[in-house]
Amino acid sequence: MTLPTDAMGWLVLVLHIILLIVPPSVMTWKLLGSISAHSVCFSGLRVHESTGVAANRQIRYLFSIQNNEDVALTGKRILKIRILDNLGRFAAGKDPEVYAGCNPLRVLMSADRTVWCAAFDELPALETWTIRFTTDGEGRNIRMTLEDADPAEAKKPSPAPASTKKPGPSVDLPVLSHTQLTLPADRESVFKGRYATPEAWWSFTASSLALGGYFVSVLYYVCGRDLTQITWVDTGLACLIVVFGCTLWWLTRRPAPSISQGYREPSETRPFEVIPATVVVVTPPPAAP
Amino acid sequence: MDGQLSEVEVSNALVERIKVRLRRLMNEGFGGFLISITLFTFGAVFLSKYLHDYAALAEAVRVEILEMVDTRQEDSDSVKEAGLIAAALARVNAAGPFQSHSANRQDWNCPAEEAAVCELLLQFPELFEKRMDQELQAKPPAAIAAVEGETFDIVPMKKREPEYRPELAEGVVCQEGPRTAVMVPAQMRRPDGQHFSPRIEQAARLSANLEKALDDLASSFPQKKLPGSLVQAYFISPDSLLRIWSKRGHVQCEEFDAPRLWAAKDYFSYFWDNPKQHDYSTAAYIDYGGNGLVRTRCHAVELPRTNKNLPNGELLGVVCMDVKWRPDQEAILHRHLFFETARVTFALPDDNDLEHLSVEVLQNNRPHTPEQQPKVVELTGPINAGIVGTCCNSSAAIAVEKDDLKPTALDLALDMQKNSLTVEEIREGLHSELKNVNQRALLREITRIPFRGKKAFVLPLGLMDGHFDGLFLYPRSPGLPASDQGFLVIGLLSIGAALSAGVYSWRISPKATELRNRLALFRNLQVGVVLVDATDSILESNDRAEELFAKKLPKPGAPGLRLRFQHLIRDRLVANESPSADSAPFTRITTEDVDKARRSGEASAYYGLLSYKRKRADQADPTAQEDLDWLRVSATPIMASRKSAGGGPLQLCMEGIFATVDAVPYETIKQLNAYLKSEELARKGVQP
Repeated sequence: MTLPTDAMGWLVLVLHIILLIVPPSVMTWKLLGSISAHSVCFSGLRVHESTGVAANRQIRYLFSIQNNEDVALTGKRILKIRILDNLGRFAAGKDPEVYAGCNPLRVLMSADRTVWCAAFDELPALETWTIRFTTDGEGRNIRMTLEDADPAEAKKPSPAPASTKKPGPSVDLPVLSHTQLTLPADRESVFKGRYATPEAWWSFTASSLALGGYFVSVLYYVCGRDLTQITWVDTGLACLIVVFGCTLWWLTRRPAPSISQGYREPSETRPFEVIPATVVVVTPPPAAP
Repeated sequence: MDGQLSEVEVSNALVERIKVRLRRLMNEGFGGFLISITLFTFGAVFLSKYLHDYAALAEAVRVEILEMVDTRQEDSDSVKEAGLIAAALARVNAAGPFQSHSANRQDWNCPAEEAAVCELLLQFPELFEKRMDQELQAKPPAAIAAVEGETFDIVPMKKREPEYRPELAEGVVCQEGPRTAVMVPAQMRRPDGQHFSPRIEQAARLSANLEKALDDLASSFPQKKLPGSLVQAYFISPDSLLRIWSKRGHVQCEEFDAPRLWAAKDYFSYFWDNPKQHDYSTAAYIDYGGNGLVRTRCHAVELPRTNKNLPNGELLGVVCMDVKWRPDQEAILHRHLFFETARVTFALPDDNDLEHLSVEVLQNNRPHTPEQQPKVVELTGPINAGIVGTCCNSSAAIAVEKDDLKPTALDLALDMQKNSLTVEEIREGLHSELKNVNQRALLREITRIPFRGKKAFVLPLGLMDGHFDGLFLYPRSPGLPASDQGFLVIGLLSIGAALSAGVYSWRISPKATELRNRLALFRNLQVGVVLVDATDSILESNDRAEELFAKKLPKPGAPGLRLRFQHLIRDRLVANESPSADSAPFTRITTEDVDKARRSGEASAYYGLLSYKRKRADQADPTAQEDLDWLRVSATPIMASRKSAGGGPLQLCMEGIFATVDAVPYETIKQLNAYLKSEELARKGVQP
């Protein structure tokens, strides 16, 4: 290898190295972060809509959140349900009921009864929480979000799995697989989460690792570290590995475990000691889609 | 920094998260995917190894054959082994000084290490022609032609074989001088005695310039000594007169056959076919004079052109030089694809008796001076090692590793076809087979000997200090060795296992998981569950149902019992929703009623009295037994859309029943029993 002799040559060499190393590293980092995100799923269901006079009409909803992992989702978070319709409100005198067992939840309803929040510190492993609530006849577009308790906190280390007993990394990686679900007016139910297992990205990663291992083995073991010795036979076998991986993933994927029943009795909740800023400042909800 | 984690901690957190996800994926059957893709990859690597080796061998064989086809060599008594000679010398000729695939045999691409030889080959014909021109000027051709009848000093040889033809009876005509010998085939002699035609005599006279030309040539080299690679120089006339000089010194005419026609050789006849050419180079061949492997360079010697219509003058003869091969070509000869090779040497006894032959197998190449050390010699190590034992293998491998020399397709093929010959085997084989071989034939020809049930060969490389120097050639095993076949087998087995694991993950594992989940679900239910098909046969049930019915029922994954669900229940009572004082609290329904409701898609719920007595611990109280034989049954039909037999519109059909059974509170049991009793009395006409 001939090293450059002038400054421009060195600059070009450094740029080449950066271009060669940085994009794959970032892509790999993002991929690993994405596929390792804590898996949660959301479900929204319009259960019943009463008939009669429009002013007295009420709609019952059942929203659920489930932790799919066998470790708890730790960290202060707020589960927020927002009515997106301008005129829609939570039914007067009927605050949402939370079915979350003995887990301590602090709840708060906004002054205009368009946003309801439940703050918690931990979503236990494999747990399903259900929120039953009623809106007036105008509340038809509902959004549930799972947010960090404080936007400023979101920039701080996000929680790692409970088993590590230490805060998570301060890196721009998705911590949760899903954070939001919207039930539009024209649909009766919405699900956000895993539909099939194994997920495509995991299969892709495993196949890529197998492919990489294959090429390294062939290069070192078969071709004597000489890239020019790699023939169409090796490429054909590599294609076979890819085809096998895709086919195997297609055939073996199966429906992922869906939302389970959860608790049968509503939980006792208590109000917020400190009202979070995101709830106090009530912004006009966006127009319904 | 507060709130910030080091890179290690970030990586650890990521690894921890990946472990959590992997654990869940494994529980959901991802392990099967990983096992399958890993096995498939292993199989692909092994297959690649096998295919690479196979391709390398095929390529090496192809190249070897191509090189072999272009080889030419001097015909000999062992012409039947021509193919063998070609095979043995193919690689030497391919690396020879001329272009092996060139039809033009006058091309001599002189490599740097042969500069002295090339100089010699260029100078010698010029010097010879110069001397001959001087002779011709002194005695013009016409004057030479006039010496008809002049006798030629000929020493007839004693005949060796009594069955010679008459014209050969006196043997070859030969004149042995101090430095050269001249000989004429016996059949070229005139029948009237020892006279020859004027042309032969003229050739004999002109060829005498050979010695002078050699002297002139030697004077141009340091210390007036000819290079060691020049082993023979000779002149051949069109009438097969041969005058020869040998590096070994005195030439004995007995070494040559009496009727041998030298002008019929390839290096002479070439000039008949190619009159415009003046030089010709042969491929390497085994020298008839016992010099081992040599190459020949010949130059045509002509009279001045006299006929204007013809391009050349009369051909007086050719002057040739035999040049010994380069030392590094020995290494090339060792690296032979179709044979395993070993250098062998032994002393040649004077009495031509090889009875007490003592063979020494050289484990290394001929020693070279550092400046002569050829670069390719390291590559021959592994091949030699396979022949003469394991002594050289490791050192050769280290040399290759150190120099980072990449193995060629030929090296791979050689390594693949390596046999395991031992020094003792070769020594014993040669000792037993060379006992009766003629010494002269051993030097001139390839000698065939049986070895390990195959035809092995000894290729003469010449005499070295009175010792026979040769190469032992043993045919390699055709095709890939067992180890490479093992790669194919392991590769295919791995891929087969990967496919099996894939099929297991696809077809069997999901069903097993589903069954396991259903079993767990059924076992944990607080109510009895019974799954019934359209013909009322029980398909599956859980533990609780079995407990409530107190009867062995089919379980998930373990069918076999043929039980009809309706046969388990004798009486069915439905509670009236608002019973009045006058109306009965229950209504009896029949099996037909239940069946009719189900087939129309309606669910049914009733109290059922078992058609048999349950066995309990409390056997002493038959009343208590009767009291508890009631169950609450809720049955939901499982409906499916099907086409009718005539191909009409879709119709809802019942495919089975999902029934739950539960215990009945004691108070209700008392009411049910009371109703049954009153009903019985009423049937008998007795007022309660």
